[in-house]
Amino acid sequence: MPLDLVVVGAGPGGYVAAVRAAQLGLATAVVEADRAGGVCGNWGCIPSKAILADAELCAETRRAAELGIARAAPAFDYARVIARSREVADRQAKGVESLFRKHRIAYHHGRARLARGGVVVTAAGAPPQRLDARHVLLATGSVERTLPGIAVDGTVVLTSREALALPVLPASAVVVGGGAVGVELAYAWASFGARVTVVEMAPALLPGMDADLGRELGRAFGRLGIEVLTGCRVERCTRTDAGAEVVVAGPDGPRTLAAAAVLIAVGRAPRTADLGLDEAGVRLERGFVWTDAAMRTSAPGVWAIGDLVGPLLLAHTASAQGIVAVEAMAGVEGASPVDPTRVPVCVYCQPEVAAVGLTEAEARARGLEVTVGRFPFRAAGKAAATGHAEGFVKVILGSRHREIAGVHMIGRGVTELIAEAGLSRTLEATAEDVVATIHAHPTLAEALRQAVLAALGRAIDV
Amino acid sequence: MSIDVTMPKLSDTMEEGKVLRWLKHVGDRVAPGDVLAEVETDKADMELEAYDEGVLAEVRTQEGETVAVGTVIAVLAGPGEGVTAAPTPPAPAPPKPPAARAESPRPTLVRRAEPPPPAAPGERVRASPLARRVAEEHGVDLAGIAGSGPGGRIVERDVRAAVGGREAPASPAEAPAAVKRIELGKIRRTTARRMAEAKREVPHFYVTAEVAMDEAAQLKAQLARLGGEWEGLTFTHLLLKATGLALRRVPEMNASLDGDALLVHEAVNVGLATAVDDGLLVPVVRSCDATPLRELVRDVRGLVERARAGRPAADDLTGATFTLSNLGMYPVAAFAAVVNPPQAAILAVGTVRDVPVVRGGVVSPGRVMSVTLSCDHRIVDGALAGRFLAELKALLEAPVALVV
Repeated sequence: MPLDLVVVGAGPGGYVAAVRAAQLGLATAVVEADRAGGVCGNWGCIPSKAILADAELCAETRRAAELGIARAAPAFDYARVIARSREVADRQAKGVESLFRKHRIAYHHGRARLARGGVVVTAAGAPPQRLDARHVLLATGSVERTLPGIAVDGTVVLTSREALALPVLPASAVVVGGGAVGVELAYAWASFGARVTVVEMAPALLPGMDADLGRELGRAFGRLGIEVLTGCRVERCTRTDAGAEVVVAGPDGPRTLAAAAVLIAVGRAPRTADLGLDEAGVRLERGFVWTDAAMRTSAPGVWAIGDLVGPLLLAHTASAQGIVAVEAMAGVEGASPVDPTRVPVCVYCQPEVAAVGLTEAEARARGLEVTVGRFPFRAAGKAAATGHAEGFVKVILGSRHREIAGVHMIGRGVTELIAEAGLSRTLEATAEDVVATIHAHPTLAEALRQAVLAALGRAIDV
Repeated sequence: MSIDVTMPKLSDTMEEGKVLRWLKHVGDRVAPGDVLAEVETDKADMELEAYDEGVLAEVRTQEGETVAVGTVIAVLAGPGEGVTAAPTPPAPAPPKPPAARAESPRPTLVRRAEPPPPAAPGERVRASPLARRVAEEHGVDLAGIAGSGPGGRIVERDVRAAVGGREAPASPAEAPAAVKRIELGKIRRTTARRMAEAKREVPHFYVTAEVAMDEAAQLKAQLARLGGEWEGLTFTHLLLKATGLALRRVPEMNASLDGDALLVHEAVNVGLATAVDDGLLVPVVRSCDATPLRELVRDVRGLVERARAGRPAADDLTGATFTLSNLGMYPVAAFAAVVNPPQAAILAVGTVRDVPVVRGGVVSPGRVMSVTLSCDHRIVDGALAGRFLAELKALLEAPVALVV
């Protein structure tokens, strides 16, 4: 009996799609080459959050005296930090596997390759196995990009994957790339006491996000002792006895940085190799798998989601696309495609960064007339009281209809606050709707309402 | 005595219609055949004619409003009756009856609830704040818009669609750059929905026959030489006539499924699948069995012209009991068509080919055409399909029966 669906990849895209498919009554199997949970659960979102939680505690302890606590230099066991992070990752992987059992989803370990009417799974020490299915959903995710001419050795020159499992804190590090992965690890290492330099080619950290956020984060990093070199490119990276030397070229001329570790965090590339895409007729576009709005590829019966289709390479994009794809397969009507302007983006260093919707530059590029409102956390009672007053909330309103076109936040706790902005995007709320919503005082969430008020020229607290 | 004018069913697939324009106004005298209004159906814009004489007393459906088939859209007062001059406010449109769709037995086919119909006046309209604001700006009444948001809520894109995309949305979802997105026209949308339904729900089977067309080709050439009303005679006309006669001889094929009953039709009306700019229309050639061949030539010309011009007459698209799809003008050897429910079958015709034919042990050149009958196996069995094709083949191979 052929299956209804084979999902290739058990990351946040694949496992969510498989569970939804099972709920809809599709006979489903999942093939995973590595560990259930994918990069997110094993070498990304989740284990990095474990390390960041410890890093934050360490950073907080350093400023304990300021908060009225007897100052104590934090002592930490970095190997234990990493071990805890791995335990969290292991629990994630087991959790996903138990979801498969609960929903009676067949779980195959091995590499899948597209074949006519299904996939062929190969695993070490077993003969190739054919899985026939009406639909194949590719959710193989992505791998860390590297730079040409720079060899990742896994001990000194690292990608995030090695960095998250490295049991020794590097005394100093050069982080190449100031995107989400780069700034999170830079913050973590610096909080434990490492000397960190971040090198970013763009004029500000977090390229792709609203430029005000990256600039504010750069200032905050400066206060933490992290050196930020923007507008700089890495020319060379050579191994030395003590680690590595990185030559960067920038507006102030070339500079040589010596460090015990180099983290290459220049983005992720879709994992398209060895899937048999060509033979199956799955078309790529700029390296990513092309799909329509329902996540169908150009090959009949083959669907793709997540990092494989880009460009918003985020776990929750993959999960949402997985549901769109599976509901389309099952004939559920009324499923809406994933609208990138409703996908929140979060960065988990301190201060945290979060955004949803259009940036100010994007809005203007689309010819949308906008009104911008801004509210600094230092004017929010809760932020002042807890001693985390850096950052701000920036709101982009369409001038004409006063819809919430975009919300950009930086500050402690904003990765939780962004959900309200996401809801207001989905509900197509207007400025007046947010203003009419009574926010508890004192909370950080008040800042969103205050920023909207500011856009309307009615801010109370600034 | 007042007479209700209802939204007519102007095509077999029509479920609702939109009044585009009233050509008669309250107080106007109306004679049978007068065009009352222009109506947009799922397939075409059509004219709504009056069947009775009287005075237009009341207009219940405003221009731009969409109502279900059967809804009273206007009232005629009998001749000599008084007419209230004041226009009556529009009556609430009855909610669209839930479409009676057969659920597939597969548990995997889940349908979300039909999107709720537009709200009736006085009812609370579920719309997003942004949708309300955009509607207000464009002077669009939200009550006439069906929502596509969560739970049928009217969202910005619904209002933008209703105002005709005069303005780009503020934050459209990004489309892949190398793909041109073409919104489907209403005919294509209907075709898409109906074909998918047909293939999903009708268990198809296919039978093919080869028909020697030497004599039919000769007959066609001879008649065409006569000119006059024979001008424009094609194999399609011969096929329509032959199909009509074959259906008359095998009436079980001229049938449709109605729940647990078989409806055997007295009239032999053959739909002719016709490519139009925006998809497929099936104008209906009536009484194909009884209409003389030369009149078929004339009837078909009018039907196809009206269909291609997007102005089919009121009954051009209704009442087909069987469908013919001829791709003989293309180098198509044979193909299988999709049954047009609730009809029992559809005949797919390929081109007439020159082939070597063995007759009495001698190979000689011959002209052959493949015909493939796609059947709804719920009501047609193989033997019945075979009998129909035998009749059709006999008629086409001795085609004098088509003109006498």
